[in-house]
Amino acid sequence: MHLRTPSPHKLIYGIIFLFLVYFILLPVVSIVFYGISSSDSLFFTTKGFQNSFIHLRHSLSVAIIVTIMATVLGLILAFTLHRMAFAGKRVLKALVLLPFINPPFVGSIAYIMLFGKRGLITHQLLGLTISPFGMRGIVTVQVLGLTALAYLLISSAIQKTDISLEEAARTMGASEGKVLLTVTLPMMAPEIAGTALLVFLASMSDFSTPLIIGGSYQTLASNLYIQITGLYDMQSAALSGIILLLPCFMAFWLHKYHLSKRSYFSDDTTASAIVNRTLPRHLKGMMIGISTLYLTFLLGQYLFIVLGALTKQWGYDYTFSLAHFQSLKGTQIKPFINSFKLASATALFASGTGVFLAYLLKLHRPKFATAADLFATLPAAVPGILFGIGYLVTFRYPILGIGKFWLTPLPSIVLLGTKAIVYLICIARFMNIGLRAGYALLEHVHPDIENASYNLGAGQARTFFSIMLPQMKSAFFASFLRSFSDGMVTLGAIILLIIPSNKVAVQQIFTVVKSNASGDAAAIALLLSFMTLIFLGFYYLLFNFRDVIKRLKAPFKKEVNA
Amino acid sequence: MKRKLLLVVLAISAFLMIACSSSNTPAEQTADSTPANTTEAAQSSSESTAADTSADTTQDTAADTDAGWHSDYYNAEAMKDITLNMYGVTDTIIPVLEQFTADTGIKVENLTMQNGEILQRLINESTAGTPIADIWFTGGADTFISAAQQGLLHAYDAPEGAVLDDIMKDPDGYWYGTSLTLVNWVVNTALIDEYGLKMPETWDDLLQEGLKGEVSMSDPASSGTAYNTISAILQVRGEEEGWAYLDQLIGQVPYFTARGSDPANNVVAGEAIVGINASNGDRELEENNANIKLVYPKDGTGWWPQPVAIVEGTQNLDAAKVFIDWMLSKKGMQTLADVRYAAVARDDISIPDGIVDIKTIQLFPVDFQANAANRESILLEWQSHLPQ
Amino acid sequence: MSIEIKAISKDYNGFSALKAIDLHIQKGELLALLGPSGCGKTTLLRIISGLLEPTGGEIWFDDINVTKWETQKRQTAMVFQNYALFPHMSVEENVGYGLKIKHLPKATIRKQVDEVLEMVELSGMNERSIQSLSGGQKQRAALARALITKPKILLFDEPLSNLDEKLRVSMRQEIRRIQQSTGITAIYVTHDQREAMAIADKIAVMNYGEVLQYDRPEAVYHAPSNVFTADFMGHVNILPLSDLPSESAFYRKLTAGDSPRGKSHLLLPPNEILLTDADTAANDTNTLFAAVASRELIGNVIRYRLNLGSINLYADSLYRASLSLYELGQTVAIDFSPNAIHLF
Repeated sequence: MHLRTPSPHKLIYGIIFLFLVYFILLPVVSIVFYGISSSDSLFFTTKGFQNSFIHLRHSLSVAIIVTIMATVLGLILAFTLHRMAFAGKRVLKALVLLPFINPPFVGSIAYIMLFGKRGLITHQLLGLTISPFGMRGIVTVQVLGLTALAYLLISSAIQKTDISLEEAARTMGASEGKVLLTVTLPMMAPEIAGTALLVFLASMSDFSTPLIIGGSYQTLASNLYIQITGLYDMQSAALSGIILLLPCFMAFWLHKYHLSKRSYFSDDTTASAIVNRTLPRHLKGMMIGISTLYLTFLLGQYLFIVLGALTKQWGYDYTFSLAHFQSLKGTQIKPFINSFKLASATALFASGTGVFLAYLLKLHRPKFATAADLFATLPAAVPGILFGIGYLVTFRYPILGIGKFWLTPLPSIVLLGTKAIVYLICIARFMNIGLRAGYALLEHVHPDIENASYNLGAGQARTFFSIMLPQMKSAFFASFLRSFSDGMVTLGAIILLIIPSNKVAVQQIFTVVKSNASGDAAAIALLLSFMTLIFLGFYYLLFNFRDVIKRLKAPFKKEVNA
Repeated sequence: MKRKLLLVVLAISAFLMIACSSSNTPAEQTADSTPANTTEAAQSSSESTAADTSADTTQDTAADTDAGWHSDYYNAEAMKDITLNMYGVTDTIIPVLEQFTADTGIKVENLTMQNGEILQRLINESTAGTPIADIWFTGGADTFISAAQQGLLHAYDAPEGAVLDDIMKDPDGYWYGTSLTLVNWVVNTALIDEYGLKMPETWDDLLQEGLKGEVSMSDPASSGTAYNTISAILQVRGEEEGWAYLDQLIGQVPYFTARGSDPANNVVAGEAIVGINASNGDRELEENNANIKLVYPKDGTGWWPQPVAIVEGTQNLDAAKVFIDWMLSKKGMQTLADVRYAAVARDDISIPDGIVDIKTIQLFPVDFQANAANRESILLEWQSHLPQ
Repeated sequence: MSIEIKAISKDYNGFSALKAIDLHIQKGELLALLGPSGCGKTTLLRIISGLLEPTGGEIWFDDINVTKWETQKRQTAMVFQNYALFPHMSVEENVGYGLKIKHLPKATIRKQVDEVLEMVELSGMNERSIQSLSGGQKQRAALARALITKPKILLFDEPLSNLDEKLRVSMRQEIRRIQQSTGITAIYVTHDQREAMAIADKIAVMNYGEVLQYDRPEAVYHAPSNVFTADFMGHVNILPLSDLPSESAFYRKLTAGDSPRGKSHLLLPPNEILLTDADTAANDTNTLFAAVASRELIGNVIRYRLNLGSINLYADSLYRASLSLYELGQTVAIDFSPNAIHLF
């Protein structure tokens, strides 16, 4: 599929490629060099090695269990909500998206209060006294959050599957279980593997959950943070970071080159409302039961956070009080504005660049396309906090590093300590969302469309703006919304880079969570998630402006016609 | 078409947002590369400024005395547009900062992090040659000492510093203590009653059988609270007896939390009965929770000052000095005592209600310099005492 | 196995996709459901297979009411338009699937797979991946997969529409041969009237959720019962009687064979019209004259469009090298046998 590549495209591609090398590849490579160069680090004591491998084992145990549980739950949810008809399905469908605007960190606190040694449910209700800290807590909290991600990814796969294959199996006498095991699941295998990969990576890089409820059970990611903040030892952190990178890269590589090769999706499906009506009653009941149970948990946790924000002393004194919201007045509003700015600007740039890069790589196959694709997707496999360390050790030197040595008379530009670095790292991190959305979209766009436009005499600019851009905008919008909601709560990558004048709301919450004011934390966190929801809605309306107007006008039109 | 326009506008505005936020950096850099920021140079330049505007200054000073604070470096006109960047470990001092801004017109942007994170940042920023913070206020004394040794702090001989006890300040003026942080125990009295335990009063009470697995303590390697506690115990009891006690204490603790604030949270949530905690001397936890009591051990407790310091390389040296002067003044300390309910370093301040009277508390004699110097060796020893 | 379809209807949110369909299919018969897209033919097929539930009515297999039966129990094997071959399995795995889920021994499966592959002329392709097959081979594999379960009923959902013309012809002969040799009752959905006529024992012409005519192919073709069927079967001279002035010679000739009472249209196949030079024809009131409006060569046939007063009429004549063609605007005399006319 070799298309004529307009020269402005080449220029932009060059710029993007440089960006990828400088802001993605270089920091990742820097971590490795920075880590290895520290020969006097604590890490090189036997104890240091031992500890790192204990943490690695913890990370892997948690990540593997969470991956399996969240993926299976996500599958069950996706099948239940997309393939079954039952009362109340719409409510469940809305509930399942709760974690995307979940107030960050306070979920772990809610968990302790509900299921702790003296938790409301475990102790007060069931009379148990079990410690919530440790692996069980981490796994539970992560599964609750990541199942939603798994559900979303698997749902899109389910909607793309070719149902005539299942029907064929059914007409040959295969039972519903057989159909599922021999046809549906194998067909979705690449997407399920992709889902599992993302869940695995998210679990591996989550540092806040183990920090809050891990107890003595700390993982590599949380230990990284402790090493920097508690032990003041960033080089050891970089070294354990390398250990953390290995399994992530391995999972990533395994997926990219082995599992995702085959794709079985048909291009002509009308899978809007398929209902497996012949499912055995007990199986259907079980699936709806599991889904409802999960969503009840989720909703319970959410409501409990609301309760915490609205009562005197969360976990202890449940008399109604607006004190936490009043104490919010003291908190500056600026971090919220900063969060919004950061999320909007980075979503815009990351999605724009990502989708455009997808278009260039897929339809024009420029030089180093494979490398560009690899670099752009790399941040998906690098835990945020580690990526942050990479930025820290790379960009504390003047820009383009070498400048330090031979451009001495010129003022050097150091990115560290500027607001720009926070924006840059977020753009670098979120670009792969746009890239993936772009790839997915371009599967359905024939390359000849562009040629047809040239053939009709349209210029390159015109072709791009009037033909390709409108086609890709839906990918841009999808990626924008996703990046925006991620950007509002992103912390790992930027925690080491933010400066006093651009601190973000999520960092505030993280700080408050650490202090004893959990009610305040709940209030701020709720406010942030509410704000995210409002702006997501706002952007959604913006993107679908025409449709919304049309729908609003529809009732009036009818009247006019009548 | 409209939507395209909208996107373009969005793109431009977003770009401007970034461009604006990074635009001041190169300028700062240029200024930074001139080697004018040694103490003497800065001081002499500010003195000449003060001389030029002597009439104004005298007037200001008169007003300042009434206000309960004074600074030789203060110049209301010149400093009204200055924003000081501050690192610290707690957001609770925000009202103090607001009072400072109200008094001086100098704005303060604070970023709250953990001790180690601040130290790590200062090191990085110093390596990069781009100091971001102008001042550092609140944190563990050992991190300030460590920072001073690494040349990350700027020494300032504050006139108000003379009022403070010697133990409350750095001999060379790198940092000054403002308030005290006291190690105390957060005790869940409901659980003490439920299990019929003795209310702990001395450090040895923590070793009672019923508290096995119920004492929450942070990891001294990652938390200043715990480190100061164990080093104080070692200093008071001596090496041998000290480690023997710590071995028994280790046996009572189910696991060592990552952060200094975790033990108090654990006790409030009922996850532990006693938590070794750090506090400013306020009684907030007690007042908010009927089941919680704050205990200061009778046989002495660890403590450290919450210092304030100027970061080496700051572009706003004069304003930073004004901050120190204000902070150490009666006005500043009174504000700190009032809004943070903290036991402060000056003793000529009226103590607000709801704060513990420091005179009733037995404090361990602590050598902070030794605390900072021996950190690595103590932590290594500590590691070897942990159960494998 | 015979199939009885009794008053089957299907509604989608107020839209009637099927309106009380009644059909009876004899054992061993091949029925073609013929109609344009959206006429409900595929819906009916899916209801018979059990993949869809009807809103009303009953399906009987022999003397058993299977309306409530699920797909798996009905033993109907379906061949899909897009083949619906499992892309993650080889040819053998695909074809053997129906036996594997019945837990038959491996050797038995292999033997039967070989047999059925031979029947569809795919011998030796066992290990091939689905992606490597050509369109025709995929269709054969899909057929083999349907046949191996020895279904009581074979269902075809536009199985040949993705193939090119030549392959379509040979494949439909193949399907017919296999269906007749196995004697399995079959229902075949198509929108191609030639395919339907070539393959079916009976044709049910459908439109807007109704069966408009249900008869043998010859009857459907030569004696359509309604305009839609006539048109859909490819007829060109369908004239509403109301358009014809009843006093004209043409009307008299047309209606000479059969009384037009109660009828609304007539059908006159173009090949039944004989053209002669106007000069040589007898010039009396019963001779009909028409002007040539256009002509078109279709293979070995020349189709003339004639203007007969206000009426448009098509007439075919076989092309021969020795025959001279009529020119545009030329007047010709036309003649036909009254028996050739079908009134409905």
